[in-house]
Amino acid sequence: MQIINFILNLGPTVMMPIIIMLLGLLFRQGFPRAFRSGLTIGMGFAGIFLVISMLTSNLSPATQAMVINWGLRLDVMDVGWPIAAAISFGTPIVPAVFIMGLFINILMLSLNWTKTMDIDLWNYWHFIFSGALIMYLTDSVILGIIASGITIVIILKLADWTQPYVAKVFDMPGISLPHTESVSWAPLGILLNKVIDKIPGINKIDINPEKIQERFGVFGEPMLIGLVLGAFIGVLAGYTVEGIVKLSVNMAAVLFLMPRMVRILMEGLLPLSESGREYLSNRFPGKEVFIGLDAAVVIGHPSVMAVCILMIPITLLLAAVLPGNRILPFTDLAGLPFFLLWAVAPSKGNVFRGLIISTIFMVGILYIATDLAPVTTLMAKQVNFPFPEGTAAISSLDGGAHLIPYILFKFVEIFY
Amino acid sequence: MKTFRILAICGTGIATSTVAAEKCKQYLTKRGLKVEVVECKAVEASGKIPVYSPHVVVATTPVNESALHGTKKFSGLPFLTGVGMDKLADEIAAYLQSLE
Repeated sequence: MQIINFILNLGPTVMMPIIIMLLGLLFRQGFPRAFRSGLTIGMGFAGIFLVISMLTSNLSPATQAMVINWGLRLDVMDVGWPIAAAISFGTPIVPAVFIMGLFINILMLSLNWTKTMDIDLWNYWHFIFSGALIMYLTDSVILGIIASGITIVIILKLADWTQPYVAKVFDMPGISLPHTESVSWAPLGILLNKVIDKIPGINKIDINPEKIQERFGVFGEPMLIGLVLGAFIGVLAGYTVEGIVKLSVNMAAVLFLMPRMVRILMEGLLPLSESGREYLSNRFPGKEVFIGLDAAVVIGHPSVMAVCILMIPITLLLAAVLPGNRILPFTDLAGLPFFLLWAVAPSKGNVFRGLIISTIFMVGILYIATDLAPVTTLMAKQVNFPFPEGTAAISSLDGGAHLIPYILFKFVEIFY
Repeated sequence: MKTFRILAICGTGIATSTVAAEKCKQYLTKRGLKVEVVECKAVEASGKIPVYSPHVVVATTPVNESALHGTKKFSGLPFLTGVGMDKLADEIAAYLQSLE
């Protein structure tokens, strides 16, 4: 027990390499390859820590100044999905969830309970996140792991159920998307689309996505989101011109660098993800399955992109006017397509409907992200994420889009 | 021999394009081609293509025709699913060799 605690206390830059190396050896990758991927993950964490300290040390004082100047109580920082993923990969339930996830998927496939073979092991972090929420709420590792298991089952079923849309709307037969922060919203999106079908007048409207993308496309680029938003926050914080320009460039750098750092993490996970894929597909040769992939494979769809570009200002406006919202959307503005995918897909890419449904989703996402801020902050501290003194609370829009884990969390919260 | 520039495009520019880029590089190198693979997000494609001027685009997410600026596009899905990787690599290799 002492040894385990010693390793846990070393934080993710040391703990994760050890875990990933052991998992690699378990999948018979051989020591050099397993060691290399372990070390790569450790370096990924180190890189992410660099960027997050840049983000928090710049943004934290600015948001506090905004609260003082304008009474805009947006003091929860949106650190984005990369950090949510990194925090999840820093929790001790990682190996248990990886092994259990593969086991559940194999079991459900062999009993014909699902047709989805989830080879997207990188996004197992969603299931780990779900488990971690429950674990830090209840202080029970077992309950956390059970919550991860329940999430996996629900997400696989949702992926099966939504597969016809993936095949028809995005023209990807044989592919399903077991992607928690996307597919959790699919039932609501499909329902809302049916409601709009019934409203005369409204049900005829559509907008051409290509024009929007051509005209405003650049504003969806992460570096420009960072630049513009950084300047805007600087103005609201009452900074001098010098301060505004500095904040603006630093925020552009954060949004540009963050994915680069996560990519290093991803590179380290790649061998494991490949082993997992081979392990799964060797189990079921010749069986007709849907291959479960990251929702990233469809978000380039013109309607999804058009809706998400228009949703950036709408999200900021909602964050400012919704009473009780405390999250300042920032990093995850570059990740909107994942959360809003199922606002657009049910209507086969109708941009007008996509916008209406996205706005409704976003209200939920902002409130959930606000509500999850205390537990997310606790998680980050528990896994030794380095936050500068005085950083208030953190959360992410992506965390807010984890609807199924959130429902589980609220259910368990009743008993605690 | 000429080094071919390949642009891997995906939704995030992180997860799936990393897999596609690594596989693409591995399979084309095996076929005796010298390649350099760069990744980007779908939203960045339109700006990135004129600057980087890749010989081919390997996309794991839908990309607008207008964003391609006439560059030949292959769907990189086989690199993600593992089904048909060799066939796709053959096609890309054949196309690149036709450019020489």
